[in-house]
Amino acid sequence: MIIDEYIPVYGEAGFQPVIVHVGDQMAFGCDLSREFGEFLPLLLDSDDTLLNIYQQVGAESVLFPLAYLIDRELTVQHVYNEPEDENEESKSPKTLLEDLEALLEM
Amino acid sequence: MRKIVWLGCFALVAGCMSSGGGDTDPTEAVPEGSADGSVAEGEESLEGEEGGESVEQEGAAEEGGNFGEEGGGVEEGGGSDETPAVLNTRFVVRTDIQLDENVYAIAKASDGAIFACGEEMLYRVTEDGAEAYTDGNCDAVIVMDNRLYFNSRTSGLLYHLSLSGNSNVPEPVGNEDIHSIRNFEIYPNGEGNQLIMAQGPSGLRIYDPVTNSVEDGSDVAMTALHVSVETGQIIVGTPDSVVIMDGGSTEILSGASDIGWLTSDDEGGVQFVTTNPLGYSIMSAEGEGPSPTLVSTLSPGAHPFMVREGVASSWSELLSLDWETDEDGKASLVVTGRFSQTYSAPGRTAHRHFVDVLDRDEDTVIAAYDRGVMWFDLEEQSQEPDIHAKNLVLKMSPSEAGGPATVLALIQNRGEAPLEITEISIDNPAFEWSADLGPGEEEGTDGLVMTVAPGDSGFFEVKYPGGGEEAVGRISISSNDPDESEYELTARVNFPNVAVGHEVGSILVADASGKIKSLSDWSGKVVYAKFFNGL
Repeated sequence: MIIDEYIPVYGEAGFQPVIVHVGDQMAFGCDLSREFGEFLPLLLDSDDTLLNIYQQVGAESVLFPLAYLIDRELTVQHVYNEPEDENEESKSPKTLLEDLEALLEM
Repeated sequence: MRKIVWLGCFALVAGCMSSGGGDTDPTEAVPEGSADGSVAEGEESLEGEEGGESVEQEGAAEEGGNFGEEGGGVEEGGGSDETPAVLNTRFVVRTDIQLDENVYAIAKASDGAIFACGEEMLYRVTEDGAEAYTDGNCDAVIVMDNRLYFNSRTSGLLYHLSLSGNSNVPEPVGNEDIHSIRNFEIYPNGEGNQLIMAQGPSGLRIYDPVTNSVEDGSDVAMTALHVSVETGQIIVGTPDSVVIMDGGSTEILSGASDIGWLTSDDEGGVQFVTTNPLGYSIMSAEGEGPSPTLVSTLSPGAHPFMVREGVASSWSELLSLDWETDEDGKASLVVTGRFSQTYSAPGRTAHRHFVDVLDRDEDTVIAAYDRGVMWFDLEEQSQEPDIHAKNLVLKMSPSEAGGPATVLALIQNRGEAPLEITEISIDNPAFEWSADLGPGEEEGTDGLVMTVAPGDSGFFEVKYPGGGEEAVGRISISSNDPDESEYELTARVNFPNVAVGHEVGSILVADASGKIKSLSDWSGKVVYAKFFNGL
C-alpha cells in the first residue's frame, strides 16, 4: 500500500518510508529485502540496537505493530503502537495519512 | 577498457543460505528473465505485511511472553549461537584511537596512516592520534597513486585530493554522472590506474584520472552494490547475484553486498568470498568466461558485513578467518578467532559495531568501529573460555505495573575451555539475582558461582521486586575469560518509551545492502519508520 499508493503521491513532497527489521532472523530480513529493497531503505537491526530504543514497554503496550512518523527536523511526531484492526480493508495506522499530510503541509 | 558482457549463463541457487545453502546445480540454469521474475513475484504491499503482524505478536508471546504477561521476560540482542570448531587466534587491542563522531570506512595510505570517514570530517589517524584532515561525510574511501578518493554519504558524489599537495580542500571528480557511489576499487588497465565504481541502480562506472573522464563499465543494466578487482577479474555484487566481468552470473537469493579475499589457484581459477545478511558465501570461478559457483557458506552470527584477506567484520564482532580445503578440493571458510567489545551507553550496554576492516597484514589487523579505529595484534590462542551474554529487559505485568518481574540471564561459553564464573554483581540494589544449577553447569567449587562447559550455557535469574517506576542495573560478571574477565550487561525495567518530541539520534545500523545508515540520514524528509521482526 505504501509503495503503491503513498510514495507516488507523497514521495516528491518529502515522504520517506524506512523499514527496520529487528532481530537476528535474517532470512525474514532477506524476504523483506527482496520485496521492498529496491524501493525502500531496509535497516537490519540485527542486535536490536534500534529496537532497544524505540520499543514501547509498559502495561498497555504491545511489541508489534510498531511505527513512528518523524518530521523533517528528525523529531518524532507520532507513535503507532495500537493493535491491528482485523478488518483487512481498513488502513493501518488509521491516522497515518492525515498525520503525514499535516507534516508535509499538503 | 573492458566492459561486462552478459553471456547469459545463469545458475539458480536453491534455498536460502541460512539453511545451509547448497552447491550450484548447473541443471537448474534458468533464463535471465526468471531471475527478475522471482523478485517481482515477491512484491507485496506494506499493508499486506502489516496484516501478518498479529502472528508476529503471538509469536512473541509464545517465545518470551507478551508485555501483558505477568513475570514475562525477553532478552535483548542478536547473534547466532553457532560456535566455530576451532579458535586458535586471539585479537589483542594494541591501539584504540577514539573519534568524536561516527566512523563509516577506512583506507590505508602508503605511509601507513589511516584515513577514516566520519560523520562530518575525514580524519587522518595513526597510532599516535587523529587529526581532522578535511570535510568529508563519506562512507567509502580509497588511496590511489597518492591521491585520496572518497564519496559523500548524502549525495554519493565522488571527491579527491592529493596527499602530496599543500591543500586539503577536496574537489569533485568527473561530472554529474558520478553520484550514488557505493564503493570503488583501483582498476589497473595496463596504462595506469583507473577507478571502477559501483553506482547502485546506475551500474558500473569507470573513471580515468588522466583524462578526467567517466565511462560506463557495463553493457548491461544492473544494480551494483559492490565491485571488487583482483587476479584479473572484476566481480560485481548485486542485490540478488554475483556477476563476473566477461563471464556469467550466479543468482544468490540474498545478494552480495561485499566481495573480498580473492585467491587464484594453479589452474587459473579464482575463489572469493561474498557477504550478505545471512552469511559468507565462498564462490569459485574457472575457465574462460567463467560463471561463479557457490561452493560453501558460513553463517557466523550477527550480521556478516565485510570480508577482507584473513579477517571479517560481523557487525558486532571481528572474525579472523582461514581457508580450509577438504579432500575433494572443496573450499570453505573457518572462523579461527573472534573479538567483541561492549561499552556503557545511557540506559544500556552496547556492542561496538565494526564497520570496516582492512586486509590482515601478517599478525596485524586494523579495523574501524563506530567511534574510532583499532589496531590489533593477532596472537596464538590456546583453548580458552569465551563468555557471551545479552542485555535483559524485565517486563511488567499489566495487573502489577510496578512489578515484580523476573528474567533469566543466559551466559554462553563460546570458547573451548570451561568458563568459570567467580562473581556476579548488580550496581543497582533494586535488582536481585540468584542462580540454580542446571544443565551445563557444574557444582561450584570454592569461589565459583558456576562453571559452564565449552559450547554450553548457564543461567541465572534476575528479579526486580517492584516498587519503582524505572530501573536500570549494570550486571558485572567476573570470569576466567582472558579477554573479557569483567563482562557487563544491562538489566532494565520500564524503559522510558520514545514519545512525541523525541529527537532521532545517529544510531548506526547496517542496511540490507551492507551500507551503514542511521535514521538521521533522512533529515529533511518526513520519515515513516516501520518495525518488523521475523516471528
